[in-house]
Amino acid sequence: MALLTFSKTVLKNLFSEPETLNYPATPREYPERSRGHIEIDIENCIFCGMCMRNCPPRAITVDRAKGTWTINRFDCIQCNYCSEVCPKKCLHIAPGYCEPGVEKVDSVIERPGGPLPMPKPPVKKPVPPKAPAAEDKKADEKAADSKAEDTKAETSGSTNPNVPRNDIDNCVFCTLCARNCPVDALTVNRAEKVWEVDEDTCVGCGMCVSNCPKKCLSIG
Amino acid sequence: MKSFHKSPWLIHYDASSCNGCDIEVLACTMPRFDVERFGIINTGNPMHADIFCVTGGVNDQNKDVVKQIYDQIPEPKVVLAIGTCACTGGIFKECYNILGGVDQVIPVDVYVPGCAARPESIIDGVVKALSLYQEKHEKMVKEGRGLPEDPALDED
Amino acid sequence: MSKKTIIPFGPQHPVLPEPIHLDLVLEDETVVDAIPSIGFIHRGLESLVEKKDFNEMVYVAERVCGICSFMHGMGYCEAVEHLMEVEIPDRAKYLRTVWCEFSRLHSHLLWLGLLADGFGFEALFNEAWRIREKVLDMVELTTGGRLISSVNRVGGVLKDITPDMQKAMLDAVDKIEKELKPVANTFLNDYTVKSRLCGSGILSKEDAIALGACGPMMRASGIEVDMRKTGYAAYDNIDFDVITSNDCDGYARCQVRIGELFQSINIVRQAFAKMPEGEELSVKPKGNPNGEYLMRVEQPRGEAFYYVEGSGKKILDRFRVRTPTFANLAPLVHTLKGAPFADIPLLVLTIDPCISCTER
Repeated sequence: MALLTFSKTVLKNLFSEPETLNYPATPREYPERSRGHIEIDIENCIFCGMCMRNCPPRAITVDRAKGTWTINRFDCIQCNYCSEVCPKKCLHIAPGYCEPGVEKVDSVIERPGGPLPMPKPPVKKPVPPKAPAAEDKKADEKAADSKAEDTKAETSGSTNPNVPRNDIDNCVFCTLCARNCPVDALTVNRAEKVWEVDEDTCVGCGMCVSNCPKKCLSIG
Repeated sequence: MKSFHKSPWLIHYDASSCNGCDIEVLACTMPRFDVERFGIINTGNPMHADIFCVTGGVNDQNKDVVKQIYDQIPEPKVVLAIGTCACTGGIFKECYNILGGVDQVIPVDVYVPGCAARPESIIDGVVKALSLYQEKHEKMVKEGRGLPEDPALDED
Repeated sequence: MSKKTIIPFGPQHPVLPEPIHLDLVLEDETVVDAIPSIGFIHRGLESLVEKKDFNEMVYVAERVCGICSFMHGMGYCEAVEHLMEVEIPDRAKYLRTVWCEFSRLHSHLLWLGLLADGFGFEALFNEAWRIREKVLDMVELTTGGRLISSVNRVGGVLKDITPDMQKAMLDAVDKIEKELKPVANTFLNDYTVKSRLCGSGILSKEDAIALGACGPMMRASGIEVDMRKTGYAAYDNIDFDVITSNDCDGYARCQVRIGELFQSINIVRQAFAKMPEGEELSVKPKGNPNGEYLMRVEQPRGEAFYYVEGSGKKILDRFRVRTPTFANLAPLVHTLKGAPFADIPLLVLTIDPCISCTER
């Protein structure tokens, strides 16, 4: 057994540089990857609501009608999952922690220029003669729609306004809508001329409508 | 009026947090952040404490413990909710045993968010709590419930 | 025969940052029985599995405990990966190993500090936590969080360790090793430390097996059990020996953990040397988990079980964790019997209790 084994370390510490950071007098610098708070690039946000639905503590609220993206900083756990799921990659986590406060206030971020314009339904054109197969598919799609409605209790009426509809006569089955869908809710088969939307997966973001070259899709 | 808030003592209680924030509260008193240079001491006795640091969303079993510790701290006192769980319940607020935030049980003065709350933000929260602490004390003196501080102690 | 007294210990106690309650039955100064009661930080997070899908559940699993957060996340991910038959990229396996060992370093240093505080050696406490900050700096540099890393996902990891970071980590490890040596020397050879730890809290080899101890508690009783030898992550390619001690007392547990600190440093170096290059960090799992799997992971405190059960849906049916401290509670109560009352806080500390894990 030895005595005073620690005295050497104590003496060394006495004459070495202080370990203590001079915080808060000197602000702290954080490493690049440090997860402090979530920032949004609101210009690019499509208000699809993926972050809201996937946030583990449900700290995010996305209001498409008002054009606001709200986060409760006192509820956020800085897990970065929202930016993982964001289809537009407009969310990212930045260093620097959230300030302590005496009240739990939400921080609301508004989209400059008001809410995102809702994609308008296309102007009705006289229906050109088309192959009857397309008409059948349309009927099939409607049947599938009503079947999906049955399983979803909150959807009333024959059509869900938050799900895109296709004017199948004008559709060229280019698959651009399916490729731009953030949640892979669309299935397009060019060979069999099938266009289907999975109502449960669809987030109603309108990405497909804005990407449609033929303007045959509509939402709302 | 410096002497009183020059050396606040804090007590920490873990009301069902994941341990992350508790360790960070402890890390504040360690060489790297060292809140003891401000005269802050982490005490284990509620009767000696001025600042109550609670971590975690309170559950059914420990809400009485939290209340009891709160009652044992002499007036004036400041409560700090440290960590997202203590603020709102955080990721655990959907759990069956979480009441959701310390403010469901005792009044909270300062909320320190973060999962886990960083030592820097805990220090900032304590600094914020100190000004509230001073206000509370002045109010008590006005109401005739407390003694004003000895001016001799204020001389630096 | 003297009168029996019951003294409550906790839940709010200065020596532990976490609440545990023990009813200690005393005869004079000697403890004859200890009745633990837990549940003060029970959150019921296993029930969240019914509300969150299996990808989101990673973030819940990480928050079982803030100290061994990375390993909880990894244990859950590995279990789901086995269920979905996903083979994660080799580089991700090594990255997981490196982060695992860093969390073991920080957990053991934390424990050493608390132990020193338990027997009143404040300077040693501060020194251990000072070294620990260096570990946390490296964890923050690479993962972005000081304690909760959030880099695991089902199918791999989210972030890479760049060559610059690798260099910083290896430098930090060298520095930690250098600074750890005098601290370890004090813990193992100092008169004051030895007089408090030697011969206290004896748990014989037979008792350790009968009571189902795990982790360093088991290894300090001379039993060679280490779940890392089962070869999860990249441990099957790493060369290391299981550290054991035959003294069976508090000092032996301290010895084992200090040995593991140096071992972790060695494993980090090995993992970096063997780590393959590659861009791919994760694979996207296809479909939903179906079936059940039990994953065993060696945490700083011992062996943890992760049981997951899925039925082909996005939301798992069941998620269950058995954590090491829960297993170590029975041996703890056994060691408390016959101990002097003043030794209780120290004996509670020698099992490295993590109540958050235990109660979830």
